[in-house]
Amino acid sequence: MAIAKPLEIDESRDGERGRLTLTGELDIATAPRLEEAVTAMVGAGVKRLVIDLRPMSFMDSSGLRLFIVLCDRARADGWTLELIRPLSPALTIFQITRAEENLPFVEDAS
Amino acid sequence: MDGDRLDGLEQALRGSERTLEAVVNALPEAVTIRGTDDHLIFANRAALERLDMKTVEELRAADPRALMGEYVPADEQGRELTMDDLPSVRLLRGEEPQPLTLRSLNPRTGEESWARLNATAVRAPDGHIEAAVTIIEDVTVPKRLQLRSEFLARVSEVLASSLDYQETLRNVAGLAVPQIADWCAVDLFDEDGNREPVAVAHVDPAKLVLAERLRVYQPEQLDPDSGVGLVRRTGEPVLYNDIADELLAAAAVDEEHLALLREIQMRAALIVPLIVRNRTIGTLTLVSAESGRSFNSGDLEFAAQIAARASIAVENARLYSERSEIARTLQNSLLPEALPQLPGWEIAALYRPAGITSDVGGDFYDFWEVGEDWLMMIGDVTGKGVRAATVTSLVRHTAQTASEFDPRPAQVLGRINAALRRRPSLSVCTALCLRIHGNSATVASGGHPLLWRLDGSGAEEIGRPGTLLGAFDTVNWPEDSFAIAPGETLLAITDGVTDTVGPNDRRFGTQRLQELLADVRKESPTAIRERLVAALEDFQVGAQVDDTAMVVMRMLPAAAAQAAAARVSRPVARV
Repeated sequence: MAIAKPLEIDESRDGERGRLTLTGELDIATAPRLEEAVTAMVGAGVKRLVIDLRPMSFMDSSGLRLFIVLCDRARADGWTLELIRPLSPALTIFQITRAEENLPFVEDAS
Repeated sequence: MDGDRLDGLEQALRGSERTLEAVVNALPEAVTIRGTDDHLIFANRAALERLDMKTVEELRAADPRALMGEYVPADEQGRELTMDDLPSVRLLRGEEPQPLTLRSLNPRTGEESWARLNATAVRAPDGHIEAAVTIIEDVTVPKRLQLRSEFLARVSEVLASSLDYQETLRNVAGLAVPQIADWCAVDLFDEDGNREPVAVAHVDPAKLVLAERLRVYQPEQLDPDSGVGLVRRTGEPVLYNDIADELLAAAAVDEEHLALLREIQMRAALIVPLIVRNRTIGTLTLVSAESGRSFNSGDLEFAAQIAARASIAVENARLYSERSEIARTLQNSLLPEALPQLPGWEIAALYRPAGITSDVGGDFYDFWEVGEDWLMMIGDVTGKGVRAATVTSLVRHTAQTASEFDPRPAQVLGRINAALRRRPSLSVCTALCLRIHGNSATVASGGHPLLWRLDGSGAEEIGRPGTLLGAFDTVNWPEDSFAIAPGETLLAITDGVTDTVGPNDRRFGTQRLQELLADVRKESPTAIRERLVAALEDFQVGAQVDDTAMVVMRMLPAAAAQAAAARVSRPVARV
């Protein structure tokens, strides 16, 4: 069973490559922070952004909606978004909504 | 006591050192000198003015204790002060006093003022103290500003604490006493202009009885030319100082009324309007009584600031209740008016919107009949508020219309997905669609938690995940058909159930749900619903964060089904 924690976003950047690692819960309260972090990365010139969800313990529909929005945005604005699957039961929501086959999941690219 | 030296000192100030006296007299600060016998022996012009005296001789003749008592001095905590607390007196006793900030009232005018007293010793050549010079700085203006900003901060806190405006207004009135006034009352006006007393506060609860008794004498219809009625008519504040006994006598309707008015000892009153969008909706009344202080234009301005904040509280509460009303209306339009009579089935449903917010939730469920089949849909629109309600409405209507053409669940979900994809902004929804035809059923999920089947052996999820609606270009909604036997139960939920937060931030989760459902599998739909709600409430820590909806339906045993069918008063057989 997942243990809830406030969302922690670990950021790293190497030129046009950026990485955000999410620990804790991505929900209606914390999703805006992830959106800000992504906007900041892209604004700073990142062209290929990896969001590592492995340590994420929980995600609700607001979090899922955000990934759909980010995916559309990446396509429209010409940058690449890659997601790494959560290791926890947080993966369930991607599976039950079949978002897993629609969102740009990759095997660990690091 | 050294009389000669004192005289000498006096001489120095009053006689030979005229220049010095002129300088001291010209100071804006009041300066006094207290002798070792505690009498004041000198006061400059500003000090004489403060004490309402004409000459130093008059001052010297006065009993210092009595003189001070008339000014009802109090410290910053409102504690009454005596002469022994004054820095000059303490200095003369050999102590080393800190400067003292005190509040006093002019006994003649009732005017309140704040002063900061700082005493310095006048020492004889041998070092012993022979007099104390006090410099009295008038700090009324900064002190009032400080008190008022502190008070307004507390008012703002109180206003933010509750959406029950009556409670809020009572709390504001409670804050005003005794710092601002002895009494504080708030009245609101109803549609017909009658006053509705909302709050009366006094620091002494025993005094509140007087207000209760006085209320009997308040006419329902206000006099438009005085007091609260005047403020209501003009929207302008009124200020009454020096309320004389004749005024009370004129206002009193009988002896008992007059006695009550006298008992309250009303000295001054200040009434300011509560205004919302240019309309006077009520008044805030401050009354000065036993404290004897009067009100000035500064108090009036301050009262107006409190009233402005209180008005916002009332308006917010009104807007909020209006918003709740809209939300309730919308919500009601999103759920079936009553659960349908499904022949051969017993149904229970639940919709529990998240607490705190009055926004419309995104969960919904629906039942409808298509030919000989029944369709059930449960769903969850991401987001809240009117926008989510619009999407919910679109989803429900699309589903019903689509099912007329093709009642297969995957087809219905496909039509909803297409309708959502046509919307200009991302509109995402999960939905589970169940079609019941006789003893068999077909289910498909559009990103929604799967259907549960409860039978003799336990509880299991039925069906396979399908694509979230409105989100993606690549879609797949696998359909699963299954047979249902009498006595079996189907249960559909929204994710508010499994996402319920419990101790140590754990989620209720699927496993806990499965165990509970296995446990209650033989009970009636209503009993299952109640057990699940009880389990969630028991588990839940903190406020409910998400909407929760569920539908529980049980196929009745054959005999019961026949009896139920007989009760349904419409043709069942079709040729």
